[in-house]
Amino acid sequence: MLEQVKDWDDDFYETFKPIAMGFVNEAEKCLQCGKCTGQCPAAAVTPSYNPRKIIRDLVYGNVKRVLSSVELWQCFFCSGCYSVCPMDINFPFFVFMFRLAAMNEGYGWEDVKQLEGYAEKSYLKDGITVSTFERNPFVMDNIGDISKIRVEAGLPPERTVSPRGIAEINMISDLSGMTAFMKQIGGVELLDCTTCTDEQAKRCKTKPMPSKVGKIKTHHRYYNYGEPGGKKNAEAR
Amino acid sequence: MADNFMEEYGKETSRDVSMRTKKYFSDLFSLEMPLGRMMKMMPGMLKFMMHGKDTREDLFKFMPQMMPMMKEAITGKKEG
Amino acid sequence: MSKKTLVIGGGIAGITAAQKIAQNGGEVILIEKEGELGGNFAKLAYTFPVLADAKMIVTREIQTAKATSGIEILPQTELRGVSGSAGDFTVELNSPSGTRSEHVGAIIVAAGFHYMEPTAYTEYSYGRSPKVVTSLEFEKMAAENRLPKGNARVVFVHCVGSRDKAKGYRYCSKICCSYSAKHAIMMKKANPDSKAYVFYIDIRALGKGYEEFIRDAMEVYNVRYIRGRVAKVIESGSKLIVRAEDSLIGNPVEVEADLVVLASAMEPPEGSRDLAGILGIATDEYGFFQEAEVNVRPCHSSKSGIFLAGSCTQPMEIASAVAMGGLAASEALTLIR
Repeated sequence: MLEQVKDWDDDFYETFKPIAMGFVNEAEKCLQCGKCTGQCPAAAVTPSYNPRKIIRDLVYGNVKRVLSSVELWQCFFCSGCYSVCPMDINFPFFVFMFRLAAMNEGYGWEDVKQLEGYAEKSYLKDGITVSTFERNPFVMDNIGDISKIRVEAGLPPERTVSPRGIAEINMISDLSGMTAFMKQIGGVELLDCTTCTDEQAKRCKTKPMPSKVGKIKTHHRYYNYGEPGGKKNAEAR
Repeated sequence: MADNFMEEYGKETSRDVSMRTKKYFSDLFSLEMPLGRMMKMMPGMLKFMMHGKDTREDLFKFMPQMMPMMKEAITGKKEG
Repeated sequence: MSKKTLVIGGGIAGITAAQKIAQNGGEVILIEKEGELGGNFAKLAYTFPVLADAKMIVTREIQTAKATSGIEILPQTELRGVSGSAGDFTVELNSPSGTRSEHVGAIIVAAGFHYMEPTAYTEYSYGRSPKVVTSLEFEKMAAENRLPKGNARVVFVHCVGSRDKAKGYRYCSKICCSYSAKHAIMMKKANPDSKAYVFYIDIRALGKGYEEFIRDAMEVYNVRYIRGRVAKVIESGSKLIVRAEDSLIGNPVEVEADLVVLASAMEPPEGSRDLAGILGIATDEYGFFQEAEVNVRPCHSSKSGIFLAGSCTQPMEIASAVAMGGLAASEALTLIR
């Protein structure tokens, strides 16, 4: 498809930088060398995911493509790209910022909703993000039972956070707005562009993210940075 | 259903989207403390205060630092 | 009144400057830190963009310098102190046999450059694997006929230390594109069964014959050029796994290699800031000597009577270093005659 350059927001990056409190610095120094993508474990399995291309789009102001992409949600914050970057660009910060922006546009809620259980139910209740009841079969097979290892090391078999610690976590969560955010995610009813009616589509266009708990329409995202690969996509549709 | 992201956005340009994004973040990172935002924070602080003696003392230590912010929220005026 | 000229550094720029001054009736003291003249040029096997025998050329130039009357060559000698001003310097030279003091009219600094040791690049396994070498080590391997035999894959990595704010220098080292092409051609010539892959960001080969040289590497010698900076080199059994992005396609690629050659950056010579302190001249932010004016006075240092030549001012190829040596010589001659 043909893109119009006049459609890009030329000074997006320069105007966004001071607002973003230092989270999107140094992107203008990007050499487009591809070292980030070369070392990226996510890109190695999903070739359409490409940090280099996302940085390029941010600096050139093609915000629409970044925010509506599936690729924005494929980073898992290993920060390998940051460690090898010759220009010290902290790309995971960008992902963090633009996922928020994408959610504001109504994309990606289905991915965030999966985390609700961990955050609201485990973290706020026990102060632990990963539930101790969840046993990873790979770890069980290769390393063994973690609780046994913990006992051998002189620790209690399960991780515990003191009641005061939990109270503090809850306060910080309330103060920073995380509790409200998590409630919002809990209230999200996932709708899908593939199934919604014209009436719903019209409403969702005019309404950005609601400030109160309620239905959030999640837009359909696109593979904006290339073909995702795999058998399913081998033939032209 | 739209075929690609450009159709999805229709006539909206990246400038419109970037305006929305910038507004969202300037609200999110704003250091201003309106009353509504203050009230949202109160339950968390109350919960922490009610938890025990040591937490209550801990919170009171921060009171002098919090007072200007609270004043600002209630009066709506920023102090010199 | 004719006075001597001190030339610091016995690389190709220093040798040229000394020759030109002596051929025009001046007297030269040529000091060299190492035991032998030739500098970095003498460590090469071939020149570029014309594949000529580097050893032969540099030996010829050294012989000419030795045969020219008026050049006193002092190996293993270092500059310890400078006093006086243009036309009347007193320099203190230190060698294993002792310290001596000389009166000179002009000083030419041709301290050369140093190939950066890419030890900071832990992701390239340099120093951990013997199969990851710098370009200088590759020259040595080629000279000693130790290049991989048989159906081997060799990967050349550009911009190691150059164009890298985080671990190296911001500048472009200018010659790495060309010498990596030279190495790839050397590899293909030595072992036609081998496969050569060059990972580049941009090809910067400017000058007469350079573009053709790079194109020849691609067209005649079938060297494969892949656009993307290499991200990591992992040792796996007897092979090396090279991971990078083919950024023209936008896909990560992996090469199973037998040898990885890192084109390490040209950095200022070791101790360049100390030398600049002794001479009282300015260096730039990296430690290269600062020229008075970039375009029209490239060989004037910030102090009158001290001239610069060769790659101690900026990354430079041989032809430019020779030209600059000649220019510095003529500037020195105007001062001492």
